[in-house]
Amino acid sequence: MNTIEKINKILSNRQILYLLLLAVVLGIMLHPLGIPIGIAGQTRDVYNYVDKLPQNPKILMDVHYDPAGATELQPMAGAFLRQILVKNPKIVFFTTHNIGPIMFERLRSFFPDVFSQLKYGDDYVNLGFLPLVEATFASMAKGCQEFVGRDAYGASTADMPIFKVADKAADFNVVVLLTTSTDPIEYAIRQWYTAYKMPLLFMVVAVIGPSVQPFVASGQAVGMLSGQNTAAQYELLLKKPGSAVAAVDAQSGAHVLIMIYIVLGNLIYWPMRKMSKKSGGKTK
Amino acid sequence: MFGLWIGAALTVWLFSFAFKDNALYKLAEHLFVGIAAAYNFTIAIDGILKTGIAPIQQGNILRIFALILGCFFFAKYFGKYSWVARFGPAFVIGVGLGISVTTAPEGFVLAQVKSSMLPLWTGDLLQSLTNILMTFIVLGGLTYFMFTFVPGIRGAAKKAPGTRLYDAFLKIGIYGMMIGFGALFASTIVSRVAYLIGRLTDLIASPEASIVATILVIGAIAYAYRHEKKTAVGKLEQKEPRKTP
Amino acid sequence: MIRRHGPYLTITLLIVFFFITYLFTTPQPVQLFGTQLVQWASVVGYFAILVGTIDIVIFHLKPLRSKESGQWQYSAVLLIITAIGLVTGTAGVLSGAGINYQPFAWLYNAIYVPSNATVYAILVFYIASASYRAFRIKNAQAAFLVLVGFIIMFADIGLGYVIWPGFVPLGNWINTYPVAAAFRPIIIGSGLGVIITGLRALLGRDVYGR
Repeated sequence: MNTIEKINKILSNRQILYLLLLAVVLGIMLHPLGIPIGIAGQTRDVYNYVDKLPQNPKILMDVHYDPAGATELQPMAGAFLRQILVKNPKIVFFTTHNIGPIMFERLRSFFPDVFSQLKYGDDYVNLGFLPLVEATFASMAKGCQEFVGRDAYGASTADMPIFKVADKAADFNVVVLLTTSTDPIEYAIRQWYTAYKMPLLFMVVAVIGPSVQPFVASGQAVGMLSGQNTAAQYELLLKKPGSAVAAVDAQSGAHVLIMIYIVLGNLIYWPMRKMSKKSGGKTK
Repeated sequence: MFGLWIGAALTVWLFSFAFKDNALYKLAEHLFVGIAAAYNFTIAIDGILKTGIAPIQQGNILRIFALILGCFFFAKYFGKYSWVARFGPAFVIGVGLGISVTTAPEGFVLAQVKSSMLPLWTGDLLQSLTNILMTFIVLGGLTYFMFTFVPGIRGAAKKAPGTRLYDAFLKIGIYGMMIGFGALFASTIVSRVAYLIGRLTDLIASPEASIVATILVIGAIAYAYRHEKKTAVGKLEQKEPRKTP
Repeated sequence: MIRRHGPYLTITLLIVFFFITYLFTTPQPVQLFGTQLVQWASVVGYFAILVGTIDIVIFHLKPLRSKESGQWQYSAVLLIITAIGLVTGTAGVLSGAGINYQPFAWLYNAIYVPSNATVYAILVFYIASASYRAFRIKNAQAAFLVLVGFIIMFADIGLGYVIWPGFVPLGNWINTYPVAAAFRPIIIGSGLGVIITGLRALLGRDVYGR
């Protein structure tokens, strides 16, 4: 058996591939490398857009992510809230993900510096979980307070001061969609942007970034942050590095390893296939 | 503290599925599904109270029809009246289609077509080349998805100009989509690695729990391998019974 | 008649109603009724979740009743934890605390949150194994896909910025322009699909209903 066949025999065992990946990511997490991060133009555009929002902006925010997506989206949400805090915002939070209520409570506990400066009922409100159907988005645009009689904590929304200034589509300066799937984005494009021209800002996990890019390119969204790397860039722009910046080194290590797997896989496969054709056998 | 231990154990046991299906993985999976079912039930009840009952108490009496329509779902458990259950989803689908079909042409089709009509010369060379590239990629992609009309006669000795043009745009479309899928592949890796980093962060935060859970799952995997071997030997003996002297 | 065609008639009437209110100026009561219908649809959505939970419980009662070998123990565990969750969750809702009711919050923070995150995190292992074992560059298009993928990967990671700072603006340009153009036909196609689905439901030509 020659060298190529020996290497192939080891790496064909998928458990070895998994353990190598775990070792690299865990190793780098325990011993960070301090790799610098470049800032992409799209991230800078989002930062500048938020910076140019008027004073006392009214924001509608859909916290549509699960614990897996929180690794990418929670740093983005926290950085956005920290940036907008100086403008005395009014924020209506809701979620169309069933685990969203838990994620909102975690957001509150992870960023006490933000929420301690906002008064519940006056500056922000949490409407809790609303079903992920297009009708929810249409109803919210027509009037949040009329649609949702009670907030996530059982309090009546009828007397909350925030709904006097931030209730219907026309009231909001920007809608922020923190999402792990394309459904809320499609519903928002149809029911909010197309119907009412509400400005949409996407903060999405990297996996759906490319498929949502056309909406940003066509101007239907004012900007997009996609993935943990842009979350890290956003944190750096705000000069408040957090968990996203801390993860960049491990991301680099994992990416390099996967690139090595792809290159190695092809470098080993094609010669082995040639050898096997010459000998008349089958290649694994 | 106990919660952290359970969380770490469940994380390690669920990860073990990548190596081998085992008893601890099945236990973790069933715990997850069970609590997920209970949690979803609870937030649904909470949501019905919030958007169904509370508005009625505030004076919006018509909301009661929503509750009646929702109760139609439960008819599926009563054999004779299970046909009533179809009205619940029919209502949701009807409203959903009604509001999406009216806005989809403008939101999805017209807006995208409009933004594809880019000036091919803007004065700036890079922007112009970008616009030309984007226009060709969009046209190529649309050509690729056009299944019903293919110009010319397939297999003809000499290709007609229309067929050549079609083939050219088809090729551009394919390469254009390769750009999109290459970006999608790279983005998928970012997301999945981020999920792994999130879990490892929690495991690093409770190292004792993680180590104990890992030792237990190694034992479970070893047991699963041994059990599989025994079952395979047993099946072999059934096919070819051992010959006793 | 109403058993078979009632749901389709419901869908058709609703689509026609929303078409009329969208395309024509209608009296205020009609518009208000339209708003009510949209709000009702959102409320009805919660009941689908309830039915899903009940179905899971019914599904796992079967192996328990028949003592199905290798499964009934796990089904028992599932049903026990579901029962505990339902009791604590309902207590929370009735007390007004909702999901913040302490015992219920402990349950989902200890079990649901880490499990949910891990189920998605497992996928990275399959990507790693597929990268070595299945990703074969067999033609020019595959090679082009890998080339673009590598450029974007270098743009995404800090190491790419160290190797060549130009990866970041190049990756940003690829994502902003060619990628947007590549996915545009797919979005146009999905928009046309939504329109066609609506028209088929309107005309009673819904294939899935047959």
